[in-house]
Amino acid sequence: MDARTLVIIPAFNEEDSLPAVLATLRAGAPQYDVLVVDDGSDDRTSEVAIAAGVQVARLPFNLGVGGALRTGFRFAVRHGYERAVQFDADGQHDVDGLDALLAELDGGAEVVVGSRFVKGSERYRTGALRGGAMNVLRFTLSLLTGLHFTDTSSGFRAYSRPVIDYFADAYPLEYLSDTVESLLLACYAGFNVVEVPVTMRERSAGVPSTRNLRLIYHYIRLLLVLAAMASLRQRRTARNAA
Amino acid sequence: MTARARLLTLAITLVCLLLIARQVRRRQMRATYLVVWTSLCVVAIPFIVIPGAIDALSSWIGIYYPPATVFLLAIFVLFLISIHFSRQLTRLEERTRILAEELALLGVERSARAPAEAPAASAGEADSRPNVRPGEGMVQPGSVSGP
Repeated sequence: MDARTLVIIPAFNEEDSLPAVLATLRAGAPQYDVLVVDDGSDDRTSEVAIAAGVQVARLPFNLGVGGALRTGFRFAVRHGYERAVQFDADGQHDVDGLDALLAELDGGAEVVVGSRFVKGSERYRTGALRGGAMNVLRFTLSLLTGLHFTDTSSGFRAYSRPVIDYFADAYPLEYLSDTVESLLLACYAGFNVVEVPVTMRERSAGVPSTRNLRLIYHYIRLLLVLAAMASLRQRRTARNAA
Repeated sequence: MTARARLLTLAITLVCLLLIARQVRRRQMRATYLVVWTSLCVVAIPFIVIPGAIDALSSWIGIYYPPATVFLLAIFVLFLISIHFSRQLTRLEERTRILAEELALLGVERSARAPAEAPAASAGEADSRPNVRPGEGMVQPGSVSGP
């Protein structure tokens, strides 16, 4: 397939890990265009990316991963990209996984999620709290969508053109929503969402984005949002049935 | 309520009105909110001035303890107003985000053009999202600089 593909890399204070990530992309997948979205970093993230010769969209202040991604989607829409891949700036994701994701898109999927936990991927360690919370989210999501997701918080995803169009306006912006809620939105909007196994490394640099207390708040908020969306969904389907 | 208490409450209400008027005069508050707060003050004044008005209202609603009526109404109105503010805040935040995203995208376009020519005022070809117009010859000093 010859479809134009954009690799979107949301980056917030990733000057340490970004050069290596961009270098592996250039070596392993030179045919794809790369857009680094500098999410209001305080360090030299933009400069590092420009030095690596990729395009950089620099947000004037921090919007979170969701906002950075939406910026990327808008860029993709404007410049006529057929496919977009979301790729981490901290070196968690593997260039080999990129081809696996895109191959699945060519096979007819519209959203492809690289999963750490599906059979075929190597083990990935998480803390107890995060692991437990991930389980709750996974369970809720399969309850709401009827689909079984193994890795709801994966940030390694590929999107087809219709999804890019949809998310350029509708991508959820708040923390954690950008991963879980977006999956739900994609399912509800009727897109074909597929998981493929990928290998992820431990973070190569930088700190995890949030502390535990805030994490708990965000999980509660997310559960409420999911509940609200579920009730909306029921009403909508009831109306369609009538 | 004694006459003194009545006078005091009335004075507080009038001071509030004056404060609101001053905010609007200094353009620190939109006229919409002038209407909201003024009408609230105006509605409150008869109940302050007329003895027994609150009691009459309470017995009409069916509340035995008249002060409870005041609190009930006050809480209800404040609740509505804060819901309204939440909505406004959400909308503002969304617009700010869109502006930030547009700014970032303009920066990419500009730096893509920069190597060949000086950043000219030619942002016309970029199609715009609703609500946001590409700036005509927008100069953003803090934006991405060319290589």
